[in-house]
Amino acid sequence: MTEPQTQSQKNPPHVLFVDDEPDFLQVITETFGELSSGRWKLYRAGSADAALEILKQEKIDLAVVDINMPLLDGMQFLRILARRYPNVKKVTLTAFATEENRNACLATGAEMFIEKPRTADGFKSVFVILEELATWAPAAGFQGLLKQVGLEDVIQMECLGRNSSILEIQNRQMSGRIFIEEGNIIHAILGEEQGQTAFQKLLAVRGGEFKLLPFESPGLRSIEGPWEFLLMEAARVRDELASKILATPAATPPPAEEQLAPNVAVTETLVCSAQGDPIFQWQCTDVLDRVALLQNIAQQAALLSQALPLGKFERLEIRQPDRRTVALFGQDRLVFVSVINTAVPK
Amino acid sequence: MNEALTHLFNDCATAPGALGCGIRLPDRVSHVRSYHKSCPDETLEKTILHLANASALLATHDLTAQRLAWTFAGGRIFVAIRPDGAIFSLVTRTDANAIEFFDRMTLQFYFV
Repeated sequence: MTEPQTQSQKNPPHVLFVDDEPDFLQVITETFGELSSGRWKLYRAGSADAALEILKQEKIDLAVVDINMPLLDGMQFLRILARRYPNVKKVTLTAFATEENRNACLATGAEMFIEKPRTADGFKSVFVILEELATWAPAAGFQGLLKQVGLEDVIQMECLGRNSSILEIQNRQMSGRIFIEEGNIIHAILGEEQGQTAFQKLLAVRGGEFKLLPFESPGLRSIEGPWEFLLMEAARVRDELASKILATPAATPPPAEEQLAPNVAVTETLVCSAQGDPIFQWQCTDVLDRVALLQNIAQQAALLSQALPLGKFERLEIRQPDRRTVALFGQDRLVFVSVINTAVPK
Repeated sequence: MNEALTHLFNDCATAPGALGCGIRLPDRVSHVRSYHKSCPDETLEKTILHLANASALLATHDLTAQRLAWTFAGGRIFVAIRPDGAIFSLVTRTDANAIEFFDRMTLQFYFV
């Protein structure tokens, strides 16, 4: 009987070591080659520019970088990595572990800061940590509030990205699902209703929560047609419904938090994967800078939650005199939204 | 510790869900006050240092903030930053609504 394969056996990690000490490079790659029983695909670079050449040619999962290198040092190299290769996990390895170095490395996007091992046990410990990191993948799923991110926006993103997913929408009164397969809306279900009617009713929901779940075939296809048309049609039906409600004298006004403030306007939106791949952006002047910012915030939050027992990081709100920015950290999506208050004089 | 700071720390003890608070002055001297065993002084010292680093980092992305609110599953960290670089933070439980309280405390922070 064969043993079930672990994640690292199915997809052996490609690990790049960057260090200007050739002896150390040789020892660490030989040792980790042995400890991984040859499973790890190992790359060695004696300088940052040699590492960049390897990164251009190979799909690297994890880069282990010495911070004290001549010319382009480890910190600068980390910044380049964070911008050009946001999916590559980064670890700094140093003989000079100070609190300042640690903070600086983590702020530049490194996932971990580790002291160079000197003993066999030390090498084993570092190997275990690196293997954990190299084979770690974020958990599937994403959730948010309808008032934070529009449902149409999420559907649009999934369709534009030709993704397959299930969008589960619920509030106190109802719960439904929209099935998206390779960028096409193929099925919707809301209680007893299915198809386009269920889809339109789900898009008319005001307030509530949604979750983006991994795709599973619904077993039937109740919706056909281009997603753009389906969204437009759903918007038309929703507007009709809203005008009927407004025409009813006894209609209950929506809660204050769902009303738009008159002087507030969204200036910038970015949605990206947990790995930092942009999925949707609107009026972002520098997408790469915003991706780096989101990753830096996540890194800082990790440091804060290491210090305090506060649990999983969810979001950061940044208040400036004339604007408010919110960075949301879902399980597999990062969202950045900036809102300006036009009533505040510049 | 001056009188205004002592007052501020004493008042913060009454914040809904208060776990601890801290201040880092422009000369990089930090003062902290723990209100719960889950947030001892040394942890708050580290936290205020991380918050100072994070604020500096945001400024490099053109986000020079006056206020920040870090929300975690089990707690929130409210931060106010003065123009001279001084930082004031209050750590609370997530289920406690302390934002209005923090806004009031921020006024006191400007006189510390």
